[in-house]
Amino acid sequence: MPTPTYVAIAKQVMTGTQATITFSAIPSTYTDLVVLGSVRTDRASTVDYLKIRFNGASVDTNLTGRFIYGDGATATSSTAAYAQVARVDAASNTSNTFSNVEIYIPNYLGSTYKPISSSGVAEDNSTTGYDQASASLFSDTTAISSISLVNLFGSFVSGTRFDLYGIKNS
Amino acid sequence: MDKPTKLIVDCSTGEQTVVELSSDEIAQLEADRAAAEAQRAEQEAAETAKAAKRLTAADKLRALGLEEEEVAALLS
Repeated sequence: MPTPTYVAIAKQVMTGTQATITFSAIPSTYTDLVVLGSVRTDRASTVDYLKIRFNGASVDTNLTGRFIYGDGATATSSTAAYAQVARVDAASNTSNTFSNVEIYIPNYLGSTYKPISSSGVAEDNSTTGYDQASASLFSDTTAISSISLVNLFGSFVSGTRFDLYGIKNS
Repeated sequence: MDKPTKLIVDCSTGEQTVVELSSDEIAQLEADRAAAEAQRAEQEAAETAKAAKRLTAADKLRALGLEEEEVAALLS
């Protein structure tokens, strides 16, 4: 059985505040895509919510999400008419603390709807962590050629980093 | 105040471009954030109301003679 191989497509470390980031012209030479993130936003709160969009959309079109969430004390679940892929650190959380995020997009070139699995933790590196796991769906049969990441409330701050990988099944 | 910007990374060339959001994009972003704030407030209100109902339910169960552990078991 072939061993799946991660191939780095692009990486971006932000040097200023950005409302969104888009990876465009994604090569069509892989089977799956993975986005890894180290994320913090300027929302005046401890947490913000990272969303994903595809193919140049500036609105949450053909996207739905189901997610579970726990902070060590309570666990909840919810649905949304957008793809909320992770809870991330925001401005009121411990300084210089960034959330870890992983997003997996299988069969991104396929002509069927695309599921997205993801997880992320917004933590204060002291007492509290907000963990979220999500199952989202891009209800579109078009191949994915670009990925945009945007927060529900705030903008990405300097130091936020995203890495895009292609998975090669060989 | 500076306009918000977006960062575009072209994976075919590696070129990075910072672009100011258009008026339409800013309006959409603000609308999305306002809608999210409203939804969040609605959820929090629902959770607060649910917590209050649990308290009154617990009081009624105690009035019926249930012990504290039984009340806790029923409401867990």
